[in-house]
Amino acid sequence: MQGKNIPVPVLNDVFTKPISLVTVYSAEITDKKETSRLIKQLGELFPLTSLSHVKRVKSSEKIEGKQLQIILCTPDQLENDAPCTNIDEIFCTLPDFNKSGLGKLTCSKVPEYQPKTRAQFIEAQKYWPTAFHEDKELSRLLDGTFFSKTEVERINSYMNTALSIARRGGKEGALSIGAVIVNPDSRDIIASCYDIRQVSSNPLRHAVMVCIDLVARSQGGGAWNIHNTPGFYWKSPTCEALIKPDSSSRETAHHECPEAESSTNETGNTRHSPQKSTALVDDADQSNEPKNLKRKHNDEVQTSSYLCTGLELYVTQEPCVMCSMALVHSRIQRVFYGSPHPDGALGSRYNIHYQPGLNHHFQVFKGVLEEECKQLVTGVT
Amino acid sequence: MGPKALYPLGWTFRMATTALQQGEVPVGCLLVHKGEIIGRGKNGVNCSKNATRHAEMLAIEEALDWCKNDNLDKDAVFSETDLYVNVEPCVMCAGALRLLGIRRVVYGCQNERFGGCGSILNVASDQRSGDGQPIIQCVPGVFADTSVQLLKEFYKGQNPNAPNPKIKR
Ligand SMILES: [Zn+2]
Ligand SMILES: [Zn+2]
Repeated sequence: MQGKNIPVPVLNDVFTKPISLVTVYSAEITDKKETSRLIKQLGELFPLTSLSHVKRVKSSEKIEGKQLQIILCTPDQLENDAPCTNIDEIFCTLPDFNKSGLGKLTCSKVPEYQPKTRAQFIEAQKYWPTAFHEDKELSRLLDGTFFSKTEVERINSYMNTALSIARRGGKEGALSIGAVIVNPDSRDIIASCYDIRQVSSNPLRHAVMVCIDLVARSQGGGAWNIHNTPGFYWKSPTCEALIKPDSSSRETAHHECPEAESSTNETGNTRHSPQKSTALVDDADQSNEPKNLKRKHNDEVQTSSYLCTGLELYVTQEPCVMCSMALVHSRIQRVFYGSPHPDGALGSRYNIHYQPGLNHHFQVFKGVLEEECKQLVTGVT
Repeated sequence: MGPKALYPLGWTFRMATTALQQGEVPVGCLLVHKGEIIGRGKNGVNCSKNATRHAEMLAIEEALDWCKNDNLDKDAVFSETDLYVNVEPCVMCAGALRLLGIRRVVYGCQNERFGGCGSILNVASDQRSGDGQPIIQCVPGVFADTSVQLLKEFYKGQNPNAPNPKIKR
């Protein structure tokens, strides 16, 4: 199963909980030649609509050969509320029904819902056969083979970045909680920061909220005046704008971007100064491209990478309900966190990432470099 | 609450209408402390490209500045502050208000998609959450019809700033 240091999926409990059972009326089939007639007629009289995943007939090996049992009906399909004790009571309103081939009335327990995982399926079969469609992705999530070794290394390296920025925060007198937002396709870090709820006048500036605003800033938006905070990083919006347009300005992008990026990679926490960003914009505006066309490209860039669509968050501590819902609003794709928190909303207090009724769900993994992340927290308090 | 206490909610409709004219989801919010408005906010998601810029968050920030400028203890201020908003605060804003220990939330219509005062979750009065802060007293459904009307106008008119319109509340 799950080895050490593999990100642990925080799954909807419908996938992890034990199966639930309901009782049905059943009977042994004493004359096997009657089986197909019984299946057909019972299917018409008592269709198993609420238990459509359950097979009508159960076949079990006995010492004296194969034994068949058939579901007659569910208790709520009968008009009489009182429990039936013999087969005649089941069919008392159906005098024409041919009961030949049916043995004694029994009560059987069958799975209430269709199993969603292989473990639930195996459990369900102990009671009654059911349909099962294996979700391959879910199975890989459950058996710990979802991420390759390389992917786990990549995940750990981003969490290490989050740990460094968290420690930097600690040095600045802030809470040691670090957040990094990454584009998993380009492998670019879009923003990284630490928690400033204690060092700013706003107690809501949790690491995740700050990181989201830095992502907005990297897309030419942003609301908070936090860009001069020591150690904060966000990807310059101008690189994106230059890379995106076709042919003519792509050349420019290749000349400009490596320079901008190398300056950030040296220390890993250098920020793009606003002056530099402005300079790049000015350069771009001086290109041959007509202004209105350029503007259109810019808008395309901003809407295609709007908010956190397709992005991953790495955060040292489980986000609270405010931050988790902010991630829903921002359409984050995946969240990795280190240590759980009792007030956390991605597995502990709430499960915002699969909360019924919300229009966006995302994947959550916990336990990434958990020990290191826990040490951060105990270091502060 | 007497009718006079509901005046601020009337004002949030004007702010919401301005937000609508600016292509934002029409939500306006006021924070009132001992009869004085200490924070105002209208939805600013599109202009900031930040999906968390809800009216409540902006109003909270103004109120925090007010506390700072007047050198007042923010916990003491928020424990005697009421929030007025034309739509039920979402799960995020309810979480924020809980963290701040606000006293009361008076709102117009339900927020079926994101509501954090009962519609999706009840973060506002969940005993278990909120960092040990007291539960928020909620006064729902004040001028609900007017609120619904305003939201309908947004859905109808769509959002000029978002080519792929998604309502981010
Ligand atoms: Zn938070
Ligand atoms: Zn909100």
